[in-house]
Amino acid sequence: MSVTAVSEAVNDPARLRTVAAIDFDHPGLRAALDLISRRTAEHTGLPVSLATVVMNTAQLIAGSSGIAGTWLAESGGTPIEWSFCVQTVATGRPYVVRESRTDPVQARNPLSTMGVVPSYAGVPVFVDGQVVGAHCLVGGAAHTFTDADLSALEEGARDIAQVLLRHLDAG
Amino acid sequence: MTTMDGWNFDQPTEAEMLKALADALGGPEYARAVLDTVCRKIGQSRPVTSPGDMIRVAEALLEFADMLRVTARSVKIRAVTYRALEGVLPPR
Repeated sequence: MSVTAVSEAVNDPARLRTVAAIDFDHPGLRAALDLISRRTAEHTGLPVSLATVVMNTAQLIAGSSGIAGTWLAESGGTPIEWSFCVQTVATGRPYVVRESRTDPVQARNPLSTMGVVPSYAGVPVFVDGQVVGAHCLVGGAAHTFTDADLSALEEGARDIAQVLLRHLDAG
Repeated sequence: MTTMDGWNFDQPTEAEMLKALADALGGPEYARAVLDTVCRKIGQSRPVTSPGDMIRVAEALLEFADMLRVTARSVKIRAVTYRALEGVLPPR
C-alpha cells in the first residue's frame, strides 16, 4: 500500500470522527486495555502487547503490557510515520513483520533500526464500522508468528472493541 | 426571547451561547472565533436563532472539540517522544 493511500485511509473523516468520540483519557479504559494486553502477552509468551488508537499524526498507546519504564511508556505513543499499526488500520487486515530490519517496508523505520520493534503482528480494532486502531504483539527478536498468536490477537481485539464502545461519546 | 408559560425557561439564544463559550474558553474573542468557525463549517447563518439550529451548532461544537482533543494529543505525543529520545540520544 502506498504512503498516500495509507495517509488517506488514516485521515478518513468518518474514521477520525469515531476516534475523536472515544474517551481515551478515561482511567477505566486504560486499566481495561492494559488487562487485555497483558492477557495477550501472557497467552503468547511474547514480551510486549499493545492496544493502540491511530490518530491523525500520532498513534496513542491506549493500553499496554511490557513497556513500563521505557520511553514508549513516557511518550504514550509514537509519531504516525513510525507506526506499524497504521498498516493494519489502513488495510483493515492483520499485518505481520517477521523481522523488521529486513522487511522492505519497515527496514528504515527508526523503531526497526533502533531495535525497539524487532518483529510485529497486529490486527485491526473495529468500532462502529471504523478501524480505530490495532491490537499488536512485539517480539524481542525476529519471530515467526503462529496462527495461535493471531487468534489470541483477534480475541483481544474483539474485547478491546467492546471496551472502546463503552467509552464512545453518545453525541 | 420567548419564555414558555409555566416553565420559566427562556429560549436559548446565540448571545447566551457566546457568553457560555467565553466563560469556558477565557474570553469573548475565543468564543466568537470558535462559533464563527463552526457555523461556517456547517453552513449555519447568523445569528443562530431556532432551537433546531442551536442543536446543530452544539453538535458541531462537540465534534470540533473532539477533533481538537485528538490533534492536541497527537501533537503532545510527538513532542514528548522527541524530548524523551533527546535525553537518551542527542539528535545529529
